[in-house]
Amino acid sequence: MAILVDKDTRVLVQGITGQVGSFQTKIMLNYGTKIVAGVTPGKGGLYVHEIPVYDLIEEAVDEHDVDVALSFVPGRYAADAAFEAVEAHVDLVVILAAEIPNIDFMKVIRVADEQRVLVLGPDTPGAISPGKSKVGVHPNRMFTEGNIGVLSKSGALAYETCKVLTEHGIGQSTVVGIGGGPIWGLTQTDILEMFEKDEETAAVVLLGEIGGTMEETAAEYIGKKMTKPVVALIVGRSAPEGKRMGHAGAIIKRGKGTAADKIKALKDAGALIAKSPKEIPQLISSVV
Amino acid sequence: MRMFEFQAKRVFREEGIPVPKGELATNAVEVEQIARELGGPVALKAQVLVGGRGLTGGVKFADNVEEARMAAERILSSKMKGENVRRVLVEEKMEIKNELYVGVTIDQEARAPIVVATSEGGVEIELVSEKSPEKIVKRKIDVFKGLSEHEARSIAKNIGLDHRKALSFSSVLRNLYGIFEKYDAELVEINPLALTVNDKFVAVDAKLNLDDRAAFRHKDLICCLGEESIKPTEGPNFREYLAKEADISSYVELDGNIGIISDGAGTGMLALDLVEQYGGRPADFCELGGFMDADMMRSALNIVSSNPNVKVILITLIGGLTRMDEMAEGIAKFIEEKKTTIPIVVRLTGTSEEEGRRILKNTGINSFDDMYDSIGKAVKLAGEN
Repeated sequence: MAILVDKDTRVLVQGITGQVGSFQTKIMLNYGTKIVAGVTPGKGGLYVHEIPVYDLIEEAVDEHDVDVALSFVPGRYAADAAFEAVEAHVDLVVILAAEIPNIDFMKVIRVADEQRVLVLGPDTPGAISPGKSKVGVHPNRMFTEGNIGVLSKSGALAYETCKVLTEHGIGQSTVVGIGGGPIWGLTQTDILEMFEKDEETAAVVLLGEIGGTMEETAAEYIGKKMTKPVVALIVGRSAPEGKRMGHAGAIIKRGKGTAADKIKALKDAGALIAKSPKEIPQLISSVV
Repeated sequence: MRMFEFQAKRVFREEGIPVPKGELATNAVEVEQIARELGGPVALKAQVLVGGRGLTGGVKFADNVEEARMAAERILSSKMKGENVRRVLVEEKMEIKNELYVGVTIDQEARAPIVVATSEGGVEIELVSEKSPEKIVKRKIDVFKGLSEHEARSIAKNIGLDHRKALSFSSVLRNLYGIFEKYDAELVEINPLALTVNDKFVAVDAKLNLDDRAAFRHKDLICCLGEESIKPTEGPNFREYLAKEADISSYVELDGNIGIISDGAGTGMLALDLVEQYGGRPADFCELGGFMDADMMRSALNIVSSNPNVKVILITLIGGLTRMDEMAEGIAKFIEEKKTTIPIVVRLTGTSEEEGRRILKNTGINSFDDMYDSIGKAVKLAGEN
């Protein structure tokens, strides 16, 4: 068992007929992901790569069992698509879009919590359990099956790191991107808890960045509860104060949320600190 | 997006939060006129977006028209942290008995709106929070229900107001929360909220930061405010403005000579850290964002290459959602159009990489697969040029 997605996970793709949705669906199918249905309003009855398309999720779930909804829906429609997925009671909703207004997303999260639906994102690349299934947009060749759990705010930084791990023959159990904030569904601590329980995961790589206090909270969990070794990398050491570095959550405000603070908290909690992805394979080999 | 104080105050006035009487001026003659109309002592406040205005001479008081003109001349010829002061807000000076603080923002951990209030306003809220945290009241708000009247009154009583003042304070607070909801604010803040000698609450300052992700809902507002923001025409602010126009997620100018473009926030920050680790100096952080295409890459190259400090351009790409063939097309178009002499180092890997590499090869660029190799090369070139 990996975490969040496994070889039997049944996936519904929201926005499957769009250029991006259709292109990435093809790549996921090639990877072996079990995509059972797609949804695009107004396109019900079509087929994309032989996957049936519906106008509504409620119509799709009448015909198919769905575990995960993956949304490619952009911009102003993203929040509504998220509500639709949450209200359909799937287990997990993965939101790729970065543009959901904060107030809308806080509402999505509130409903999801009440219905016990997990939300990954927004602004996430999704999750991949290499060799089994991929619910997201990760470049396939950078990942290989193994026993290292990887979790990251940034998608690209996870690709970067897994590319290096794979080149060193170190495989991954599941690679999860939680997104760029400033508000998150699943947090670093939530994912650490899942990796801690997962029998196929022997150690965890945590990829964090400047801004907010999520890494500090994760460090508390690592220090108090975690038995598996953790290797951590925090990027943005050279970021100036008060400037948003790509992600909405990646900003140092009035001296708070610096890389130095986060590195210290993680180090004090017993995590091994890497300065760049290239140092990670050796640190992993020293603990596993 | 950060609003200027005068813009925020206009919103406050419309939404029923009392603000001082006043008007905006761009020169000393206008200031004189406004001060004369207001009569009595006035406050002059530089309209800039940088913080710490009070400490850098951006806020001055004047007892008469002549003093107001002189103070305005000083403010309007000054710079605040590199930003030219072009406008000054002239307001009646309030007679203040007590300064409070009230703000609405988002609690990232709770994933809910939060109201923060204290009767110790007038200084940075962080300072109060460090020195006397017991004086700050924080209340998480149900995002569906909003801030109810009794909650607002409870907050008022908890910061030590008597029952009469609590009523008028809670009306300010509810209007403030209304602004947070209606305008999709990330932060809306009054510091100080003045209790005047007549026992009235007045917002002496006003801060309003809007959520960029909700911009599509506020086209009218942003359009009208946009006309008021003075568009930069040169320098780092101009390049930042161009990046925003091109929908580039983030462009932050730094003081080095290696222009960096990336297709992800995390990998962009990693590139920045590694360039410094290798002894180089980044000229910028330019991250394209989620759904990007060839045109956006071309715009990014135009902007980064127009920074006169840039000696080398380093493009680090690792594609998941981003297609490397599209990115390569953008780079090829830029080279074809601009015939730049600035060397371009490209690291390209990920989705559709074979096609991407082929396109680049046709324009004479051998791209790297390894990020470290590309950074080593860029730092070396920056040292030579």
